[in-house]
Amino acid sequence: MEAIKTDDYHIWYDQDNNIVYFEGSLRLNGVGEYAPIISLVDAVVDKHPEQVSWDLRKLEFLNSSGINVLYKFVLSMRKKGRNAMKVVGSNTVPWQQKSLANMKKFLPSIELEMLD
Amino acid sequence: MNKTNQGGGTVIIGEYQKQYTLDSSHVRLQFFPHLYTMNWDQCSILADYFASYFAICFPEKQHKQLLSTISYLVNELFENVLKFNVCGEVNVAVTAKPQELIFLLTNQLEQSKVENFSSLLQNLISQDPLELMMEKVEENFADEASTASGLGLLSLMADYGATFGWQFVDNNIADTVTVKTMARLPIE
Repeated sequence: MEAIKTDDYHIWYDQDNNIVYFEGSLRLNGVGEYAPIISLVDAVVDKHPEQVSWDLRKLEFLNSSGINVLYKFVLSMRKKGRNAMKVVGSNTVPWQQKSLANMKKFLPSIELEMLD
Repeated sequence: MNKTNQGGGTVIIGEYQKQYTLDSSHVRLQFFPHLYTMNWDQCSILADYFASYFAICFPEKQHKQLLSTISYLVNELFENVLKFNVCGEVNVAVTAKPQELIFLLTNQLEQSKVENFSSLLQNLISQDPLELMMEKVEENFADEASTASGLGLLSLMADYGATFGWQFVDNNIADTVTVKTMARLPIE
């Protein structure tokens, strides 16, 4: 599965450019409800271990369970020794301004690009 | 450590300002989740309602930031209400000040849960929230069985500069304690 789409969010993998896009509002209940999204992201990493790229610019809302999932994924990259990871965020999405930089604390090699 | 016993079965943890009450608030909503079940999606609906209502109390240039921040905060508070053992009614009140928003959430907790909960809260306010959040994420990662993140309040403190205080009041007529959670969110 390389896309998950509901009324609230759309997660999809752009195979040509090797980028996972996150869009919409993700406020799911705990790790259990995030499991399909974790599976999608993990499957992409297994296919293309050389570089992981996420585009979060259109992810307007994320609850703390979702933030936990993002941070844990970064830790899993660190554990696997896969340091090539790029995250594109938006300066116009407040939660991203507040919280995305924390990912660099878990994996300093992350390339975090915040666009307007 | 900021914990005081006020006597009469009342304990305060953290920065709890007693002058703000349900009656001094701009908006107060009352819920009865023990009678009419609340579901998960209603947390975000309520959060977005409070965000829309209060963002426009402030200058327009702050609206986008406030819509997101208030929604995040209220959503986290309500998700906690649904996740943890709550019995009886829940009140949410919000007061807008020029430089801050003050949220007061009141719910009932079983007496048997109070000790663990208050220990958790004391730990929360006794350390640097960013360091504690980093530790918590590492802990969640190491424990594959963990299902709750425990990051809601920590992220609000570390990333949003919110401060929290709690008042525990013994209820004499039932085996429950009233927990009042005060969140103060600085307006940038």
